[in-house]
Amino acid sequence: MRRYLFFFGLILFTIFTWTDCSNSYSDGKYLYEIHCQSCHMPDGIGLKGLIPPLAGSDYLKKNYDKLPCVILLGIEGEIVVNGKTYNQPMAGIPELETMDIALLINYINHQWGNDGKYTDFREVEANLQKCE
Amino acid sequence: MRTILFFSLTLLILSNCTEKKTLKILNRGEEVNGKMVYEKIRDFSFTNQDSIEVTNKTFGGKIYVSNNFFTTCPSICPTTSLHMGRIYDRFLNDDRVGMISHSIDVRTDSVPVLKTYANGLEIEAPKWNLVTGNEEEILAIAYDYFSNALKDETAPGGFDHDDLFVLIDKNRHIRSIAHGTDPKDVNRFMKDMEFLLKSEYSETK
Ligand code: HEC
Repeated sequence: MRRYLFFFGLILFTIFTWTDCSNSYSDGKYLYEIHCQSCHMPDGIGLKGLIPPLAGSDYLKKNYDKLPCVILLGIEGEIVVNGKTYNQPMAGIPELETMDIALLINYINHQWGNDGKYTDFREVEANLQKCE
Repeated sequence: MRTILFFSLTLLILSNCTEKKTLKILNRGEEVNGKMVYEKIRDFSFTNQDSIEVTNKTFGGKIYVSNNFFTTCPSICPTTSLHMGRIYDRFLNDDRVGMISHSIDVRTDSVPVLKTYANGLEIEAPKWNLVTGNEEEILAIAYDYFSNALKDETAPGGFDHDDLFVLIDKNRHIRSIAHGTDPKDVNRFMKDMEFLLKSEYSETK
């Protein structure tokens, strides 16, 4: 009997952690809406030649390791996204926790048709060590 | 009995449908010698991204859209600029329509800064004027456009302002207002613009 209870508990646990996993997008979405959407727009298209897109951005793939630093500390100077040059400083969002950054990156990497890598707390923390 | 009810209902619906759309003058007005006189946009003179003076005359015989922004505004401005951009694209080839965006951060937004922003937005004067000028005048004229523009250290970017788009007719009267961060409201606003164009330019014939 005990063993059954144990397995039952295990199954419940897995279901809960799973639903928790799928919730991570809605957390990321929430963070995106309060911190990023005003500039990168709800559908991730950015603003003409002023603010680069996140939807379909090749920058996300090419600079995957840099994303935590971009989000935390901002980015300045010329950058090229999908062949187009942008040069307007983006302020960082220093109050974000490591976990928030991971949630944000997973969100933008899997929205608007984007199909990027999944990241996690440990990887984000490691990449944050490399910020300039 | 039922048929009567049915007919009156259809009549009601039909009469509703045929009710004519109007765009009222939204300014405060009073009757003077049997005629309504409304407040209107005051005289102004600002400078656009090409260093060219923009005055009421710039919009003489035109209808125009006005809003406030500043180039370093992190909160609502990218969204309002996006939707002003939609208006720009839609009316680009219609010379009866003008646009003006007042920078309320005149210290930062010099003419070259406005020019860079205009290039980034991929827009040009004289269709869409990004203007700077005397700080007091810029903050004061916001009042005429029913808008708020105040210095506020606590607001993001140092200025407190709203997202209003305001439609002005040929007689400097306000005819429609929209929230420039709300895409649907901006759609409605553009319909109002087309309606105003139709009515303003047939009146004169
Ligand atoms: C105040 C406006 C603003 C906000 C808010 C903002 N960004 Fe940016 N972002 C920019 C601008 C402008 C650039 C281009 C920087 C440059 O030209 O060097 C940029 C660049 C980027 C890039 C690299 C280029 C690209 O498009 O792939 C990423 C990734 C990015 N932002 C993600 C975010 C995320 C995630 C958030 C929210 C946490 C955010 N941004 C919030 C304005 C903003």
